[in-house]
Amino acid sequence: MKEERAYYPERVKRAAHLLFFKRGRVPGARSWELKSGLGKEYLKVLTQLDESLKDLDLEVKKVESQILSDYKPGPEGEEESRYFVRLKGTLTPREARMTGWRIDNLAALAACLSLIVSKQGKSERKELEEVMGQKVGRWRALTLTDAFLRSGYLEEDEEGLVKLGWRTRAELDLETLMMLIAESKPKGIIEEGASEAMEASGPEVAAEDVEAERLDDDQASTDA
Amino acid sequence: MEELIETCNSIENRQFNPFLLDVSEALRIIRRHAGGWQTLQDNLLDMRAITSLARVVGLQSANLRFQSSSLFVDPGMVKQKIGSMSREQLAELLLLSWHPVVELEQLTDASTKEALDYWQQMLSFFERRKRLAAGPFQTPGSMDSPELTRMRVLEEKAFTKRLEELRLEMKEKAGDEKRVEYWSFVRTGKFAQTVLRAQMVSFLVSYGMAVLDRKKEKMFLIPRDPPFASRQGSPLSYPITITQEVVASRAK
Repeated sequence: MKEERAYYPERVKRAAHLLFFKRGRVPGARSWELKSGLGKEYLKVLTQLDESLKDLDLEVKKVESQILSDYKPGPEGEEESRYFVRLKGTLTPREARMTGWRIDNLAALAACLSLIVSKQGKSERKELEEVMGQKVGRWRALTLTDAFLRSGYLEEDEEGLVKLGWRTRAELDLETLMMLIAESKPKGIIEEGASEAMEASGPEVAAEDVEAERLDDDQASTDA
Repeated sequence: MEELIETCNSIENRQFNPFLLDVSEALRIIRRHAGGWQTLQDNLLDMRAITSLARVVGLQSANLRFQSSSLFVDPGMVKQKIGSMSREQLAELLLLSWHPVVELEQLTDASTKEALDYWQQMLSFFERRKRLAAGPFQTPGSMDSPELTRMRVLEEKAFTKRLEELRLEMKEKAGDEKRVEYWSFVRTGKFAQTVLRAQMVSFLVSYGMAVLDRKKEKMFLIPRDPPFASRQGSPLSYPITITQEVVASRAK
């Protein structure tokens, strides 16, 4: 038991290095890389790392091989998955600014992903651009589609259809997104509800909401 | 038959709902033509039609599986929802389901090699300039200090030296009274020169090389002698308006 305690921290550190540092186009590490770097018990090491990362609001996420575009079988022909370290919780709108994505980009990505999911994972690029164009303008929709393709949120297949990319599988909780979209109400209805809630919760909460809204407006205005 | 294959392809390309195609009717059409096939081309067409139809049936099956999953939302409804929501709302929904991957970027052997290759393969400056059609290249020349001074790139005298000269001038004008009226000291025949002197005086006061004394309507400058310390400078700012009208009125 004592030996095991001294044995794991070194491997956990090595696992962290393998997962955090980007070595190629896609971050994270393949299962065979982890196996050769950490040994056969790499899954236990990853569980240990996941436990350590909890305090930092991070987690180890496994993405299955069949949904990875860069899938290659391991050296021994075994099935391969890719492991990433990602945020366990979610970001507030204010924190989201740190990621470099603007409100427009996030809105367009939400529209894009929800439409693709509703069409069972594939959609025509033109249709996506039309839907995004309603929110962010036609030209911006064109450039954003390219940006999403480059960053791995989307992928284009041989027939020119757009599907979900590796980054979407790694970062997005699609079930939550679709549930939120399905349950959402148009802005007018939300504002009515919010004003009622504001009256009930007092001026402090209302002030915070106004501040958050202003922040968003700022971010949107820098878009031009 | 060609139309049937085309419809099947459109469905595969997500242009139509797979359930829009009546599979039994499509099979009936294929069967009706089956007896008349004679050439290899005819049989190939038949095969293409059946394969396309099989793919549509596969899509219908996948559609049913998808509809029974928690991810199912009608595309029409999704479009409607997206249209009715503001950008901020959409962004917030994404944020509630978004867990960004954490990654650290650093130099790697591959990226360093790529950068080195880029640098080595890059054409020389003159080669790249040719592509821009920027006209003949003018060789850089040299310029001496008087020329730069004339172009106002260089100052004739160092700033501190000019300040010291102005302080000495102030001291001389102050004479035995040890003070000189502000406007009489600053004002010159040229407005631009007056502004420049006023600016220099403000530095003298800030650096403690002179004191600005205000007595009712009038302002007096009192030159100080070295050593100067920055703490002797005026801690207060006093705005003085300098316009041509003000300068003219002070001259009266």
